[in-house]
Amino acid sequence: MKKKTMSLIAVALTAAMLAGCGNAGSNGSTGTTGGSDAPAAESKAADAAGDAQEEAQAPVSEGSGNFNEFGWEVPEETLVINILDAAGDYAPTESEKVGEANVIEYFKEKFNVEFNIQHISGDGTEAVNLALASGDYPDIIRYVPFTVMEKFVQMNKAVDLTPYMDTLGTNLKKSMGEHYPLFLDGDSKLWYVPSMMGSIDDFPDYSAHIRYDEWQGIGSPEIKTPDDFYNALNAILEKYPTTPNGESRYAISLYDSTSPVDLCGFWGLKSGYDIDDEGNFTYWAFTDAGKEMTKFLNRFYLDGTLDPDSFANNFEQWKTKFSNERVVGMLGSWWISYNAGHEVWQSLDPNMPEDKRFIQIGFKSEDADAAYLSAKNFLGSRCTIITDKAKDPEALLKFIDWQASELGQALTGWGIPNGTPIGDTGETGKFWDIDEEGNWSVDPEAKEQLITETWDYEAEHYWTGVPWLFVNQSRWDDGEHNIWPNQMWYSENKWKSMMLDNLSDTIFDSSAMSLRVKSDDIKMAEQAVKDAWQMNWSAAVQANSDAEFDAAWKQLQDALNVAGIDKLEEALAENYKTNMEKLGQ
Amino acid sequence: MSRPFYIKQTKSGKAFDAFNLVFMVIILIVVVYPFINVLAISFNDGYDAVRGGIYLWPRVFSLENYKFVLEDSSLLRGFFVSVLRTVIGTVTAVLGNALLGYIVSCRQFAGRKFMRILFLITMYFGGGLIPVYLLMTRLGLVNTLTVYWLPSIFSAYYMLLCASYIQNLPEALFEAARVDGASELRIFSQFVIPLSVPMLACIAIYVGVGHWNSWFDVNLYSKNGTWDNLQIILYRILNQTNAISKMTDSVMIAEKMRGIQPLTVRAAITIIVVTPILMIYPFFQKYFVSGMTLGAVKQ
Amino acid sequence: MVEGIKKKAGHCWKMFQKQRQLWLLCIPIIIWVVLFAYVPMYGLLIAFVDYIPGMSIFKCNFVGLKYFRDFVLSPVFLQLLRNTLAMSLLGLTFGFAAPILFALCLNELKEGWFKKTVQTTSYLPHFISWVVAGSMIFMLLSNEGIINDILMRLGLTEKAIPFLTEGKYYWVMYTLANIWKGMGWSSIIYLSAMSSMDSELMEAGAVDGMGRLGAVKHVILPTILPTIVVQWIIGIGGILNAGFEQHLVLGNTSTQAYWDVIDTYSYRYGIQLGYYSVGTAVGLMKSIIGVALVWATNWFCRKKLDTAIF
Repeated sequence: MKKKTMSLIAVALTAAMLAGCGNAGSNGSTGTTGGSDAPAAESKAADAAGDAQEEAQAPVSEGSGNFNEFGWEVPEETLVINILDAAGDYAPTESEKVGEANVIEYFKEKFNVEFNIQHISGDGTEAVNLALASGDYPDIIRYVPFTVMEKFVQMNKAVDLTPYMDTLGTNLKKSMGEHYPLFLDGDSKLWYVPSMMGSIDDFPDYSAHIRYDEWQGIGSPEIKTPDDFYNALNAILEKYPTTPNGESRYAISLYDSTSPVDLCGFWGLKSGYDIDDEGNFTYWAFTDAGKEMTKFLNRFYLDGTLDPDSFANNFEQWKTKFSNERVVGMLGSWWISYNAGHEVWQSLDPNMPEDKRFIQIGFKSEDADAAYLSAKNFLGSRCTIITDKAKDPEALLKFIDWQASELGQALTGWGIPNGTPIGDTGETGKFWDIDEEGNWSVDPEAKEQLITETWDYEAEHYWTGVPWLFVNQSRWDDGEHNIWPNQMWYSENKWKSMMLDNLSDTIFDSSAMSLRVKSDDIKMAEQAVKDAWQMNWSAAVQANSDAEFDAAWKQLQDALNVAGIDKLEEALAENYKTNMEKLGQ
Repeated sequence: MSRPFYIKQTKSGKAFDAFNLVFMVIILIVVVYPFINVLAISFNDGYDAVRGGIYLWPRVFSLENYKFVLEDSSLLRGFFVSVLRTVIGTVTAVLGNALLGYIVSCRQFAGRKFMRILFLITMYFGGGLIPVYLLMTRLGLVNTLTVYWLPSIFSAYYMLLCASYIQNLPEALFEAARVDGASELRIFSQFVIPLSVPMLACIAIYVGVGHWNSWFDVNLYSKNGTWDNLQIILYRILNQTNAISKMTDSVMIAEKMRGIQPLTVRAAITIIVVTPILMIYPFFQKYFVSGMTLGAVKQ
Repeated sequence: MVEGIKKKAGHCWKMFQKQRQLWLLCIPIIIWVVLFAYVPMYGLLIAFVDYIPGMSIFKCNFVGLKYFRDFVLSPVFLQLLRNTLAMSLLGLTFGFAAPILFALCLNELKEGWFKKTVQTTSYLPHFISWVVAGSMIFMLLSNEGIINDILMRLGLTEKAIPFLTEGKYYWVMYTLANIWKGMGWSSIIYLSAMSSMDSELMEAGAVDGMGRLGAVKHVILPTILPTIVVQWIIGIGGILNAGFEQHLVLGNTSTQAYWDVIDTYSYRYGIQLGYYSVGTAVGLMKSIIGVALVWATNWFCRKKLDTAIF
């Protein structure tokens, strides 16, 4: 009896375990196949799509001839688009969830297009790698890093888009414009569309910051050079030595993501490199400009006016100091002094004088041709691929190409037109209107709110949320509109237009510099170079004497040499020269 | 188990008691203060908290942080998944490891060394993320609750803890039962389990908290969101704030950062996660103080 | 002779008969461990090939020990090894002893609310994420932190001591932070082990005039010794694990030369760059060293302490 129970239990345990897997198996497999066996619109094109792409000029699937007001040819059969969104860190708020549902509904109704979107809440790159390893991915993957995209291509798992670019992809090709050759691989083939390309080349990213009211308090001295900036900060410190709470102040405070690569822009380097006329690259730590930049910070350190925690602060800790008015000046992205400065002050005290804020300014070293602060890379950093799982890649590409049209971009970035309910509030909201004929206009009220910075960004979520398979941030042909509702009409906002005046000549096109195809060695060298300056640069900034500075500088250079900076410089130069050739310059 | 009455108190003993008391008070402060600090921050207004200087109580009281976190509609469902996962995962793991611990501590079992080594190897060698992910996909465990508990029933570490505890139990008791013709499972359920309650409670705490806090496997295996637990939802909220502060390239992000204050929201999340454990722990704790009186069986 | 073998075989069979129940119970467990732990181990081969996700491991280019060699010969290897060993040895001594001492002290407290409170709250730091812990440590130790403020007011130092930005303070800070965070949590295991203490032995000792120190030495410590040994052997096996998240939170660029350990390196080069082969090779190397150390320690403990884990 006992023996029997024993064996029974053993068998039961084993069986239960296997059953656990088995049951789950059937559930799981229906779950995973659910994505791929969804009906594709034009299955007859599927055969043509597979290996035959090379034959090029594949016949465009005949459409319904029924165009909606957005210029989209509504298909007879519902077009199902299965998307893996690999942007990662997906954490929608309630309003964003509702917004996405609203948009999906809108597309179903007006476009006869159905979206199935799978989001990733953790690291997106890892998710794409796992998807690739397990073969479990849908028709379209959005926001794929270039290195992973290459793996898809290498294994024949991405669809070659080159043959379609002059037929189905005209809007896409037009958006890529003069940069089109830079998107092609060594064999002049296009395997992807950028998930987000272009950039607003009339608006800066990086700047120096100074307290506006205090700068006026010392007589608004002109700031053209690093020395001017140094003197102005010290003059302010002298006049306003403590905060309202009586704490001491610093001329400059940095935080952990401050990079010497960005700082060198003030001394005339481009993204941390000196590029000579032949297109050869020299890393900042081996240039006079880089040394000058480090000495500039060292000067504050020796004066005791550099925040001693500059290399220990993270953004939050730095923000605490900044919002307590402990900092007079700053070098960094334009928005940080908004976020940590007057936006905090105004929300705590609505009557705060308008001038109590930081303004964004530029300066350049006398030896430099110009300051290169904002590197604008038009190529984008991630891409969207159509995978081998797609039964009808042409139909998918047709949709992506529609998204590249002006109305496509408008619907993508500006959201649903003509009014959408804002949750349960009973109110509706919109950014723009469109009529049956496709005549559109921006809602004047929305424009006014954006200019006066009273726009409700929370409500906006209710009418936006379409998957950004292809997005071009650049301004449209009219030179005014682009996909970001709040990045238009700068000149009508006092502070933004001041920022533009100060910094418009610091923006440069860095597309040709961007190295996207990297060998393993180069990837390793890139990381090692970053490690090397991280471990050694701060010692130079915090040197107590000239001798100490020189020793630290030497050590930095040695570490960079060991890390393989020469390999990196060489690869960048070669890539740059090729790209310049492609661009015909 | 404190000093029993029958051990006499000496002068130096008294001095030690006094010192010990002071020592414990210091530890208490060091250990509780950060938690109180987090609690205070979680009830503070987000913008005001940016300026720092909040120590024991909130400066500008606000419930917004909790509102922000609790507004998530999927939270309740996630809570139930978490509870389900924790209960199933803990019960199976405690029973599994206790059984395994018993098997490998049976002195007369020839296979005990084999079993120990079989499991010890798994402690140091694993295939890494990709093969494990492929295995789960092949077994069809993606999008199931099973994937949370089945692969973590047994663990070499808990096996060793159980074994080291069971070794201390009187062997004679089991031998006597065997002579009486009791089956191994019966010995396990009638003698080993009741006598090992403190160690099982300890493992239950460790395993239970592990299941309660886990989010990484949920991120991998809960693709359609059916089995999203509380932690993954909180992790997303946490990373939303992180992800925004990571981006730098547009006006949109700068505007998006308005309204979300990572510090206070994170504090609220910490409190929400810890509170259930804080309430359950004393229940387990009572098992640690029950000493054993074995009486007659001890040789 | 034949009789002997028969007898032996008979004996074996008898033994098996006797242990059959236990073997039967082992079957599902063995199936489990093979399926969930041993099957995925083929993934270790990734360390020896130039792995591309999506391609079968067996089809990838075989590169032998390239990734191992690259790692050991990389210019930062010695620095990584120094940091890893220094911090994990500090952890294995101070970090290891702290929860044991704490459990012993707690055990000496009078039964009552105070003891319960200390015990219940001692594990709270375990639940505070490193990010939050990091911001508190910043509050304490930064140049304007509370500690520097006190030191300067007392006149013990003229200029603030850069605890956070000078490498030489890092290891101590790391060890203390780990003790603070893990002491209460790790002591749970010793507290539960203590409850298997034999009260008869205690009474017998008391009759013989054993004092409190004697009770600790002769009754309590022997009771928890197997647990301590298990923890110790496992700890030794993890000697090349010297924290990960802690460093990303507590460390900064000016102390990187002191906190960069094998795990942070393999994360940057293996995971972040998508180099699964590098990550796997480093992990495998750590495992082999860990197993060798466990084996040696186990042998030593069996000889000297008569307790072992296998």
